[in-house]
Amino acid sequence: MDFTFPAEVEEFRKEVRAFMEQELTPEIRDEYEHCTDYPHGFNKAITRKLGQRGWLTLTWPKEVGGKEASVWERVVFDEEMAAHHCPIAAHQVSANFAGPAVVHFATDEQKQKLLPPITRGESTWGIGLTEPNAGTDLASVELRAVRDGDDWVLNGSKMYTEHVQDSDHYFLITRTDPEAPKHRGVSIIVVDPRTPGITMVPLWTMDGYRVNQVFFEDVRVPGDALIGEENRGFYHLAMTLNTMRSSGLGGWTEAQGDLDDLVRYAKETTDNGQPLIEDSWVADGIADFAIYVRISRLLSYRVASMLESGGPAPDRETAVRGVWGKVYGQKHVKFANDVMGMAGQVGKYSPEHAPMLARWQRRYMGAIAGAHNGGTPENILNTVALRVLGLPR
Amino acid sequence: MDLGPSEAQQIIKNNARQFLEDACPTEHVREMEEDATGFDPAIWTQVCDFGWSGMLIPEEYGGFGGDMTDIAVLAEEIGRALLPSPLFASSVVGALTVMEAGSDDQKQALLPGIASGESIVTLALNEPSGTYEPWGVQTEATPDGAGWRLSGTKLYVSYADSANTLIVAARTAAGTGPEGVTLFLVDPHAPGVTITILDTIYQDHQFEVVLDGVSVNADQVLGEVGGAWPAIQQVLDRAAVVVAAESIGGAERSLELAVDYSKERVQFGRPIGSFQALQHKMARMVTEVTGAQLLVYEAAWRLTEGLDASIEVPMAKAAASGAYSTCSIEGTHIFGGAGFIKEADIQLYFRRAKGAEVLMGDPRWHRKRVTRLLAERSVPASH
Repeated sequence: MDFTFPAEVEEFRKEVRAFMEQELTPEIRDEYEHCTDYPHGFNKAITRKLGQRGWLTLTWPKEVGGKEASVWERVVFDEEMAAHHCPIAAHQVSANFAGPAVVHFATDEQKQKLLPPITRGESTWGIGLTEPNAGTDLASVELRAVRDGDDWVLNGSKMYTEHVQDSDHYFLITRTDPEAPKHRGVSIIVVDPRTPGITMVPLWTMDGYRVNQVFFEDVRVPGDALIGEENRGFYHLAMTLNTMRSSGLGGWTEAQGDLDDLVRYAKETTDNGQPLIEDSWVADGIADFAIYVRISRLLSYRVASMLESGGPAPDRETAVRGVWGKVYGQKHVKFANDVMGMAGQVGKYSPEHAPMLARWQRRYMGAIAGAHNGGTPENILNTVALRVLGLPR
Repeated sequence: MDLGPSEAQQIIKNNARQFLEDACPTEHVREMEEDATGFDPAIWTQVCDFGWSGMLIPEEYGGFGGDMTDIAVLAEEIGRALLPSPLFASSVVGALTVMEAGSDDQKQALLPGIASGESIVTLALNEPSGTYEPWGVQTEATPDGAGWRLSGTKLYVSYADSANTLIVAARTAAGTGPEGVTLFLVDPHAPGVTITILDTIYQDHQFEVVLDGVSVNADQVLGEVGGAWPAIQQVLDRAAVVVAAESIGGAERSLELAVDYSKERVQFGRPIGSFQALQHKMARMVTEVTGAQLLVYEAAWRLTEGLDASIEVPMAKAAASGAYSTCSIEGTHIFGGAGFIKEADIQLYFRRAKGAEVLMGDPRWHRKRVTRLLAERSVPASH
């Protein structure tokens, strides 16, 4: 039984930490906390610097520009990014979602074209999965892609896409065979979001971020926009989503930082002379939150250790980790906001009255989005029930 | 970093499971609930031969020389099988108390017997207050010639009727703090000792031990007069991790029983396990137990490595007890009426979970400890 990182990984951590401490100026951190267009900060310059060091694609094969580093190095990199509030929106999709799909399913030519800019931190991607009539039931997508000569012609719309207004590539799942059973008529197509016929309409989330509804009207893209096998896109996507669920293994450090700040606040803030932390409901909730964060860390490490031993993303641990965050996370965020009392409602534009720069007000709203991004809580509970416990349909 | 049992520990675990599936089916568990002694001497002899009773005791005292991670993986299997035995009372709590508090002579005198299973040594710490804080020790030890006289009521004393020796915590100096607490080796058959069985939810042979002016000699003090609390604290932390591990085993088994039943039980023409309302209960059960298990392993590992585990131990006990409650309560619900009758296995886990929840500190108390430490360690913001 062992709970320690290999020594060389701790060395790597020092290197990453030094970078974060030097590069992430107070302005950049402030941008992370307060930026309006993106959750998690959007900063192409930082993304490029991370790419130059090869850190965005640490575990990728060398022939596509990766470092073939251990999963532990990726964990440590994620941990330090999250702990230092490093902006990640400019590379999150390219490095952790679209990139791995390209690595697995694209042709050599497509890989040569698409992957090097991702590893260098020079290309930003958006994902278009959800549509007005296809959310959790993703196989019902209606964005139609029709072959016309060598080209594809797209018509339809995608919902809630982040980043796409500043992206170089747009990863789409499209309907390529409307006659086939719905799971068997879907394909992955990658387009340049500046292609004529694409219109973006901003939608603003309640916590102040921009997402988009994107309309496609006779959008013509070349034949090599298709990634993977035609009509096998849903299966490619399922595998990619599973890979994505085993990414962000260091994300718990952000929650740890939040917890530390909450403990400090509850210790220093008094209610008629008594520190809040001595109130029994506050004390109990803080411990519960601390246990939640610790288990988040251990589940991440468990998934990492199984990936590192060469297996595929482990079903039980990966899915359970999904439930842990999606089903249990929100109650701790609500609790932390409750500790702020009246001030829990105050936002960032009244900073003098907003504890911790209104972070818990933002988290309170953000927790809803976090629970639904990449699949609903109920969806991941279904996954655990069917795939992990083998319960009948 | 593997965060789980080593290959050798996996073998301990597999062997234990195989043995217990044969030797300790749930019929046996039910039978022992009604039994006057509460455990089967033949099975006890066998598990002692396997080295379980000496698992934590160093080899020089006749033990197996195992560590906290070894006992944790074994405890999972014991919790899964609900093995009725004095193993926890004597070979974990009793042995650890002697190891932490005793002089070398006392260890020589007591540990080999515990390791072989021939002697049962149990700690009498709790009193009617039920607290694990030092103020809970109110039994008085008053000087009497060269020795002492003990008076007070001890409660929740496991297997006191089978014990060869009781280790009684008493106050040699009045007060409520950790100072002045002393441990005494007491013969349960000594004049003035009255032992009465407690009716507990799990019928697990806990006793009230009334001490009415019980006379003990100076050499029956275990360790130092007045200085036992730090040793007791060490014992409680280690024992809490063992109960937590046992709880994980019980929680896992509760989940399995519920999953299996829900696949077979048909209502409205479908197996009830196909209903999402129940599926989501079971998905939460597996999530809680998977998370808590990692925390229990981490606490056991830190104690083994001699690292500070003062926050991991209460986290582990709180999480494991929480998972056991969830799995056994929801598990019993999934069985409906079929879970409530004595013949059902799931109700054994339901009742055991309550006992394990309060043993070695309930989750609220452990969470209080966690927050107290977090507050102590919290430093003002640097900017």
